[in-house]
Amino acid sequence: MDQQRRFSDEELTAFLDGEAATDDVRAIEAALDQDTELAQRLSDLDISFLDLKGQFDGLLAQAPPVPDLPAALPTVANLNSTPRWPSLGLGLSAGLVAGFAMAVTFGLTRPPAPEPTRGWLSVVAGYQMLYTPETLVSAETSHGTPLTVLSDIVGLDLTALAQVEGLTFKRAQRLGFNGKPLIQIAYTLPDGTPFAICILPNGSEARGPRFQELEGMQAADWTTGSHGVLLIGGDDPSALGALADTVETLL
Amino acid sequence: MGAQWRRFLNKAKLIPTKPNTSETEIRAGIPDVFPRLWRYGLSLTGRRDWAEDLAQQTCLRALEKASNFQVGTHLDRWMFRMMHNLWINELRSKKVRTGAGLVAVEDTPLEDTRPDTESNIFANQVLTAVNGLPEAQRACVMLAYVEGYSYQECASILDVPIGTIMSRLAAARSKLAPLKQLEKAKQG
Repeated sequence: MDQQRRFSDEELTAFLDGEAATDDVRAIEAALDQDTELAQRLSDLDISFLDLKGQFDGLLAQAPPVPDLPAALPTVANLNSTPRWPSLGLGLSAGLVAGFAMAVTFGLTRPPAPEPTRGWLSVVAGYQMLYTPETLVSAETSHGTPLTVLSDIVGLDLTALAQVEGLTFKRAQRLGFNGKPLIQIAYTLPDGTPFAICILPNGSEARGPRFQELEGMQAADWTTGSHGVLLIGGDDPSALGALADTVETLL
Repeated sequence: MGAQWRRFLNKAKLIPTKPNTSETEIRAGIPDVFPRLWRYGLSLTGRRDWAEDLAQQTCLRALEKASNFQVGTHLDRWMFRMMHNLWINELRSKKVRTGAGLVAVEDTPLEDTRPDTESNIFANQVLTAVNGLPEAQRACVMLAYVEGYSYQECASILDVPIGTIMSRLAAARSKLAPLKQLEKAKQG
């Protein structure tokens, strides 16, 4: 009977991993003696993962330091609701803590409830918050995507954004939001703080710059009638105002 | 971050809590588990910065949920499971994506600076192929073949039946089958 048995890839994988039941091991070993096709299938599945493990083991030494953990669990005296870490999307660790601290600073009694659906500004802000000056140091050595290519993708000439007064260009890349191309151009401010200009094609009515704080960063956004534009980064509203004027002119 | 934490703790008027044994064990275990969490996070997210944030968030969540941890059980599995859930349920769904995968241009997370011996070329090809696997298969490969967890442990971490682990690993091995030719060439 066993000679007729067809072993699945799952069973052969379990056999290779030493996870097959004893009966299956015996059956496979017996069948291997007579079934060359089975032997070939087993051989095809028999990938050595030792190299992979070795490669990944080398990464352990590159792990960042263990985070500075809070000394006490965050039992907040003046919160009515059960305290928990606010869910701020990608705003983790430093951003998360800073955001929570800010909420408390500004007298909020609880972390802001997450919006049912987040707009692109909020999502980009959560993403931008993860950038550190070190992120952009490594970006300098990467290629990114030429602004000419990105201009074609969004149907807007972005080439002038390679040189913006007050910003040091680092890299441009295509991201995506709800199936639309989202262009992110990364810069640093004079003090090294990460800054980004993001462009998303949309059909919103043209509107001038609106200034606000997003995830602890200064942000300005406007729509041209065909594209949404977001400038985000740093904590200086007046510098952002000047940058918004410059970028509006360049676009 | 230390300063931000201190500001937060001061502003929030924290009530000091007496550390319980679960929390003590978690704190003691985190230094050993953290690098492995980060590595798994790197595989899940494809980005060093996200991996770090994911691993940090997992540590915070572990302290928050310390009462759920049974002293004497495996902290690493508990935290791996927690991290996987954090990624799947709270973070992965965010809309920003770089291309089809999550690997951004600035990140070459598995950069290998060793000389290009045939062995290293093969190792890099295996890595590239593994990174190209669908996320569910990649997670299984990482847990089973890099972290060395049993099928049962993988199933517990990923909260899926053992049969699912088997089929994901089998599918991953099938997709990686072309590497056999390279492996043979390397050995030859």
